[in-house]
Amino acid sequence: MNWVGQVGHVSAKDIRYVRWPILALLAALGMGTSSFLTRNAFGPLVSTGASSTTVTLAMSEATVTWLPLVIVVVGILAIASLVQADRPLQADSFWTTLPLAPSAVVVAKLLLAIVVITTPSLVAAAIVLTRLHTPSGVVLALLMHAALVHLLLLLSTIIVAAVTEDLKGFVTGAVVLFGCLIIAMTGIDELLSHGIDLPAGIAFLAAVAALVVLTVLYRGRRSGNRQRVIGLAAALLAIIGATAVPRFQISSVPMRATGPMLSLKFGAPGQTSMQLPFVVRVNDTSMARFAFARERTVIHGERGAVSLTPLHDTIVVGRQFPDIGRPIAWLNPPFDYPALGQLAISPADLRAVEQRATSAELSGVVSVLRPRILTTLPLRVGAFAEHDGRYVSIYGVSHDSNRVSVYVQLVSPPLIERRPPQRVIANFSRGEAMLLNEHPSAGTGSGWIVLPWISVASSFDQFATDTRMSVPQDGSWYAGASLIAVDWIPTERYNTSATMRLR
Amino acid sequence: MNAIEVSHVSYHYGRVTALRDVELTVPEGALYALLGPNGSGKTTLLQILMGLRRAASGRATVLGVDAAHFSTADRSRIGYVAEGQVLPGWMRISELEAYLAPLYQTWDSRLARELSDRFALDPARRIRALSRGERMKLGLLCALAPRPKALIMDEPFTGMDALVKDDLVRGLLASSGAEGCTILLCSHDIGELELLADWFGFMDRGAVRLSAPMDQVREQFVRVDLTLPDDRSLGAVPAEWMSVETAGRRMGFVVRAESQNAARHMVQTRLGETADVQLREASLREVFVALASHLATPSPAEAA
Repeated sequence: MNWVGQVGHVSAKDIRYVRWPILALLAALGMGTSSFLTRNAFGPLVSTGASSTTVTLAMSEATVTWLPLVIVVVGILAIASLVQADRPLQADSFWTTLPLAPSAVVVAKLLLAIVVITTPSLVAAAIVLTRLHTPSGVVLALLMHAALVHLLLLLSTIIVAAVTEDLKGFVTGAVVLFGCLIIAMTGIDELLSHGIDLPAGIAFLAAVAALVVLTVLYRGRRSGNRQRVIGLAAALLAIIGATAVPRFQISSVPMRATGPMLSLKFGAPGQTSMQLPFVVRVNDTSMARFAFARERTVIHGERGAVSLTPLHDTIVVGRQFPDIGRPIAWLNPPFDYPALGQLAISPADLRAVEQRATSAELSGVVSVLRPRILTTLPLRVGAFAEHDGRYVSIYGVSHDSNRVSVYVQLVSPPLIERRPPQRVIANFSRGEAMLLNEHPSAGTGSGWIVLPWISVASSFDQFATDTRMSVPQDGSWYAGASLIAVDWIPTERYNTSATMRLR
Repeated sequence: MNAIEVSHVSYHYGRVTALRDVELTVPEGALYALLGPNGSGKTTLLQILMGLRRAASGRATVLGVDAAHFSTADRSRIGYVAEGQVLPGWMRISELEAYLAPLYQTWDSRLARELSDRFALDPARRIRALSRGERMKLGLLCALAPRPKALIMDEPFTGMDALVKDDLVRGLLASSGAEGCTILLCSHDIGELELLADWFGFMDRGAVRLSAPMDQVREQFVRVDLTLPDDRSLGAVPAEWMSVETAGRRMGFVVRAESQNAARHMVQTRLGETADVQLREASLREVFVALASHLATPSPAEAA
């Protein structure tokens, strides 16, 4: 039997061996996927008691928390038991006496981890994301990230299982590894707090190291403390590598050399002496908005320059009302966009600002945002839409003489460069629209889609008109109205900086 | 031509030396019985021959191939059975056979069925439900069904009843004789080995102390039983008399000599012609005990 035949033959045996865990895995995947496809996963959760019905504004915890964990744990146990059935560190393991190439045995295990354990999970996640009409580029990016994290975790599992003798040993090894991981991550967190990111290359390095160590273990088939230590070190590196897997960005926003100038001006100090407000204005009359992400702040004074503590805040300025595709009369009065930023200043920096500072220099990146309609829903309870990777549903509508409120749930996987959409109520036949303000959220939650490496967030929010504006009193206005969710999509970026005189 | 050759092989478990400069040759077609007390290094040597462990120094070849560099084709020509071998307990016997058969070009399904019948193994039974003896039988079935050119067996008779052992011995003899399969086995079941083996090796403290054809062993190891005359006392027992037993004036021991006549001559030189001496070929058990006890006792030189 040639090498490929051996891989296939061992794989077939392995699948038979772990058929029950695999069936359990597939059942969990089926349950999770169907829960998303029937939208039960999104909530709200309704429980009917003897005398009352309770509505919980949350996603189904069983689907978005427990099932992904079960899927990972079942996968880990399946691959661990499989590896221990053909252990490399036992001189007279059954497989070592057979005419089998060690590389064929280890490749069979890796294939099973990829094809039978990881791929069905990715397929299930892809089905859910596609059902949400997630852009294919984003689906690909999310799945690639999840696949690499999952495979690194399984590689780590395979190594720990290879250097331990039984399930008890595996669990002990995993606990030791977990302890080492906590210590390692504490050190890594320390690095990250100093602005040093884990390079994505660690993930690649970890994968290569894990594969090399596995090959050496299977080829050498030597049992000893040295092999165990090397194995556990490689497993630890694989887990750390999993945390460094990059989030792939398929559609990057192009960086331009210049753009509309932003002017910055300090306002009066805030109530807390630690903050100093500043106002951002933009010299632009287009339909765009501008998101200024501050990256660096330097206070120049008589004694030199002081860099303030990095604070990556973002301030949005520019167009007040979105373009919703047709001429419309906005019922909201024009208002001044709250383009107010706050400089966080340490006590030492504050003295410099108050006493001898002459100017402040702010620099950062401006993203140009343009409006795009995410979805248009009839203004009634139960209306929903799945579009651009998000699920939007109306779970409440109310209006009186002063105010209109719409209660909206938004479920969203981590999409690249997406901000919460803006909400508008429009009646196109009347040619009128109202911009809604977001009120404190009634409920937020997060969880995962199929695997813990694909997160999903949900928020139940109230959107309402400003009480200072007059809202339509005619009930038929609302009967023919629609809720429009508008995304502000970043289309280009440029660097900018501005200097403000302080005195 | 030798099917198995071991040359200057050493192996260590940490600081403990398991094998020290071992030399061994097994001729093609031989059925070689390797005996030795517990901890003498037999299992380690067999594992090195199977390529399951790598010798620290020296070279071990099976069927002309270095055991450290077996290809899958080489491995398919060598069968291996070990007492502690881990079989996949989750499989049924029939599933194990179905798994193994495609791995060997020479797998003989008919022989597998015959062995299965002979060993009374139910193909539908799960391996984890088998007794120790039944597992050994299954291990043997798996090793014999591919009709290997060399068969390495470590305690293959463990847990087997006398009837099956007898059957197995006949099967092994048939394999060795008719098909030219070379068999190297170690076992504590000396009675069975005596029927089987045509070569005999004795290991002690990590070294092969004796390796010879069985005929030669039978010829050279002589059991001596004698009654001392009333007027004679033996004095110190000569060092070359092994496994000495005394009861009153009766005495028995094993000596190594060129022939029985040479042994008689040796005894009479020591005791004179008056002694009532009976000689016969020593049994394998007597040879084993004699060598084991003789080597365990330090020689005057070692003691010094």
